[in-house]
This record gives sequence, C-alpha cells and structure tokens, in this order.
Amino acid sequence: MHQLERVTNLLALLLSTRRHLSFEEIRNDLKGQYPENLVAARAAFERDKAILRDEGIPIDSEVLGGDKAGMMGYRIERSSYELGDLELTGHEAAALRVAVSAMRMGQSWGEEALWKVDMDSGSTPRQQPAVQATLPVDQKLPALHEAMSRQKVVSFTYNGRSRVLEPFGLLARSGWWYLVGNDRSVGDMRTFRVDRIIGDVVVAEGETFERPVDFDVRTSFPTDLKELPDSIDVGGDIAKVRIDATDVNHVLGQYGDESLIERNSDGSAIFEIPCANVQAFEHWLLGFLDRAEVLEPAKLRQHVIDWLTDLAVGGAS
Amino acid sequence: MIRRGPRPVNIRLRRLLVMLPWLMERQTVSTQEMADHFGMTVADLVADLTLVSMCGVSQDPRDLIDLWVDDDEVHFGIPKYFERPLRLTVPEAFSLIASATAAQQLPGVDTSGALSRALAKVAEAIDVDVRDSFAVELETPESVEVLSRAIRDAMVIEFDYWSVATGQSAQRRVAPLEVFLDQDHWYLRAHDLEVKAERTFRLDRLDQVVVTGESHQVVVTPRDEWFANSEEQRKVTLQIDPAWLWVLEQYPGVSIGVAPTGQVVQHADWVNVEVVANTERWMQRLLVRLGARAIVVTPVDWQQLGPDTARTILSRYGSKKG
Repeated sequence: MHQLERVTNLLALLLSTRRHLSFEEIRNDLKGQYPENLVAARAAFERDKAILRDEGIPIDSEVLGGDKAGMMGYRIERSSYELGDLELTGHEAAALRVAVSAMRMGQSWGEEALWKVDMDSGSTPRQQPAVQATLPVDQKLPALHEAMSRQKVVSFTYNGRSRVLEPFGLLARSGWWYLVGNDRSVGDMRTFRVDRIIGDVVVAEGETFERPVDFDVRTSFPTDLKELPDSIDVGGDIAKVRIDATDVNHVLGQYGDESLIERNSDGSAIFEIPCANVQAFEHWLLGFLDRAEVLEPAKLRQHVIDWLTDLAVGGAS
Repeated sequence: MIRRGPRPVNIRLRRLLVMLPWLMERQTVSTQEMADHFGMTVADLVADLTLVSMCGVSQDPRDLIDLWVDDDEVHFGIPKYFERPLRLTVPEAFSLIASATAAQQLPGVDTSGALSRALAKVAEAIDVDVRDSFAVELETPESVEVLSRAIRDAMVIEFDYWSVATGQSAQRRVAPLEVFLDQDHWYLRAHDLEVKAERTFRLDRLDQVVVTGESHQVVVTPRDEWFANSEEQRKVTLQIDPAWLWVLEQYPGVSIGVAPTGQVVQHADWVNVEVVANTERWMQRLLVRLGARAIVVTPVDWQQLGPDTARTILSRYGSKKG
C-alpha cells in the first residue's frame, strides 16, 4: 500500500469519527494497511501523524478512559480542520490574485493559499503584471508573524546572545525584514534583522503579552539605517561628506536639498549625511569609490582611512 | 518533458486536499484545466486522482471517495470527506497577508479598494489583527506609475540615464517591459531601441522620463536571471570571512555558491564563494565594502583590484592630511 493512500485513509477516518480513537482501533479500521508487527506498525503510524501535523492538520489527542484507560486517543475536529468560506467577491479574489503574482517571494505559499481562499476561480491564463516586487523571504518569518499576531513570547539567538522577546511588530523596509519588540533580556525595546537571527525561533506556547496600544511598527525605529546606532562611536551622528560634481545630483535625489550645505566652484558639494550607524554609512560612502570623501567627524574619517589602509596593505586585521 | 524523481507524499497530499473540494464544486472538469490550475502534469494529476478514488474509511465502495476519470475528464460524485479545504497553514497565511499588504502600495493595484476588503476578510478568517504591527514599505517612486502605464499601453519612452561607470547622463530610448523592485532598488527592464538589446535600468538613476506617443511591438518575455543582460560578466571566486557574507546579500542577483576548494587558503575559517561581477567598477565597490574581510582568489588579474582601489581612494584622503 502506498503511504499516500494510507495517510489519506487515516485522515478521512480521524475526520469522520465522533470520538477519540485509540491506535488499536485505528489499526483495526484501516485493516491490513499497517504492518503486522506492532513495533513497525507504531512507527508507521507516528510517521503518518507527523506528515499530517507538518501539513498543518490539527490532530487532537487525549488520554482515554474506561476500558481503554491510559491509552492515547486521536481525532480531528472538523471545525478546526476546515477553512471557512471567506465570501470573497469576484473583484476581491481577482485583487488577491494580482497581489500574489506581483509579489515574488521565492516560495509557493501564496499560490497555495490562493487555491484555498478562491475556490471559484478556474485556470485563468496568467498575465505578467507590469509592476513586480520581490519580497525577501526567510523561513523564520511565518512563525514570527504567527507569534506576533497571537501575542506569544519568542526566544532566539542574535549576535551570539539569547534573547527573549515580546514581538510587537514585523516590518519589511529597504529589502530587509525587521522584528521589533520588548526584549525581556534587557528590559527595553529592540530591533532585530530577521535574517540575522541564528537557528530556530522558539515560541512559548503558554505565555502571552500585551502590545502597547499606541505601538506602530512604521515609526518604531528610524527610516534611514544610517540613523540606527551601532556599536562604533565616531563622536557624532552627522557626517560632512564632499561629493564630486558627477554624483551631486544623485545624492540630492537621495537626501534632498536640505542635506546640501555648500557648493564648490568645481561643481562638487558638501552634504550632511546621517552616520549613527557607521557600518551602514561606510557601505553607502564606499559605493562612490574615489568620488566622495568624508570630512567630519575626524574619528569617522580616520575609521574610513583605517578600513582602506587594511585593505591596501592586503592583510586582515 | 522533464523527468523528475518521485513526488513527495506531503506535497501530493497537500494538493489533493485542496483539489477535492475544488472538484466537488465543479462536478465535472477537464483533466487539462485541472492540471493547469494546480500547476502539475496531467499524468501526475490522473495518477493522484486514481489513487485517491480508492481511499476512504473502509474499502466498502460506499465509503470510498467518489470520483472517476474517463477520457480527458474528471467527474465527482457524492461528497464524503473533504468538502472544504484545509485551513491556511502558517506560511500560507503569512504569505497572503504579506503579499496583499505590500501590493496595496503598488500603483494601480488597489484603486477600487477590493484588495483592502479582501485582506480584511482573510485577516478575519484566520483571526489575526495586525494593524500597526505589520507593515511592508516599498517606497515606490513616482516614476513607477508613469512607467507601468507606459508598459500597459506598450509605449516607447525616453529618459536620461546616469551611469555609475562614467558618472554622466545620456539619453536612452526604450520599449519598457517591466518595472520591478529587488531588495532595496527599483528597476526598469526594457528593450533598448538604440542598441537593440534588453537592458535593466535603476529607477533612481533615471530622470526626465518622457512617454512618446509611439507604440512598440516588442514582446514581453519572462525575466531572466538578474544579470543575464549585463554587458560584461566575470565569475569571481572570493575567500571571505563568514561574518561578512551579509555584504554580498545586499546585491540583488548575486549567486553565492560554494567555490571549488583546494585554492589558496589564508584563513582556515573563511569560506570560498563565487559571485558573478557585471563590471569592474561593480567589483571595486564590493571589494572596498568588504575591506580586509575578503580576498579575490580568481581571476588572478583581479587579485590586486581591492588593494589598488583602496589606494586610489586613500590618495584623496592623503592629500588632505599632508
């Protein structure tokens, strides 16, 4: 017997039963489908249950009483298995289809979700949308999103330290996902980049938290990453940078007129650029190669010189 | 036809659980239509449906899932088990909400408010309320709307394009094919009518967009790998401090693969990665951003590119110091 056939039968049985069934009863009902040998049958049953659970099927188990006292019983509650009818109108379903096809997430999750919520649609020829966006995906995102919306505490490792976090918000900005919340390990708000979380995210099932009513993830941390402080102190949050004439318009496009503080006769200009996050600042600055030069703060200028000198001498520090 | 290995049981089960209620609503449907809808081959579809028609709580025909395939049609009889699809899994719910939230910001996508209403219904069905705690910021520049309209109307456009390589602007005349966001940047994929080839442009380097009254006949093709249309490509093997791999992640389209081992090893814990560089300037920028945390292994003539570039930039600083 093919495992798919047996798993389907098991699922049909657990959905149909009105009371919890013991493994013996299940084996009896699905006659001849599990191996004769009890140990092998048990192992096969565990594998089947794992497949169902991994697919998100809620198997309810409880310890039985009466003549089966002490045995484990299983069933699947139809109401928790089934997706209710969303009653989407044709326009709403079409809008969801466009949304899913405009967003590339490198996974088929969205497509599979559409099949479920939009039972009415047939196979419509797919037209490539004029505008598309790639959203970064990380395997940890669904679990974090779920924990956040159910207000469950999560723990994970970040920058070599374990953190216990009340996840208040999840935000995609500038091509990265950020998780914001109350870090219980430090007793303060912290922002984490989801792709830099190491290993698994553990969700504490029993415990919930309250999100502050005025919390808004969009304003919970600075927009420009160069304003998000890191551990390097260069004695200031704003850098003066000289930009060559060739690139002045490009920087004006990025930072606007208010960032320009001086125009020179050779067409170059001096800008004020946030540098609280030295790493992000230097990443931006070095993109100009030799067409930009940081002037102040002196410590930042020295930091850039040291960085380049390390590279120029060809050895790691 | 592509030959593949056996399909995993979990994937087949997942498909079946959504196919059966879909089929139940239709009663009779062509195998081709059904296979297309669920993105599988007719052969795989028929195999799975045949197998599932022998499933049920017992082998009594009255308990079996009531469907049959004849010629090129599937027929559904009396519903018994899977009348509704399985609730959304955690990844599916996340994906749907993230896509809808993000797409709301794309020009022309939610003009009627249908997407917002759909999103609200999805959120309600899965019982999540994530207002103010979940957001996707796409920072869509104004030109996206103009360009996407030109794409829909198949109009030739002209614009000034600022080149990183030269630091100068030049006018381009193109048939726009697609506007897309990758990581932190918006791009226009277009057929350049002067050089007669496909080119990809960054929107923040594009200025003075003019939609000409002229239409074009260029057929929109699916997007290739990101770098497929760049002018010069070189495969570069880098040896890099693993803590600095994130710098590479910032470059859209960079494929990070494990390079062959057995090459120069200077740091035992560093990893070899292979990247595709489209221009020398691009590589220079990457190397100075990585600083002393990476070394070029091959090509040999680029081994000094990082140090040389660093010295060029330093000469600017040196003149001020002295």
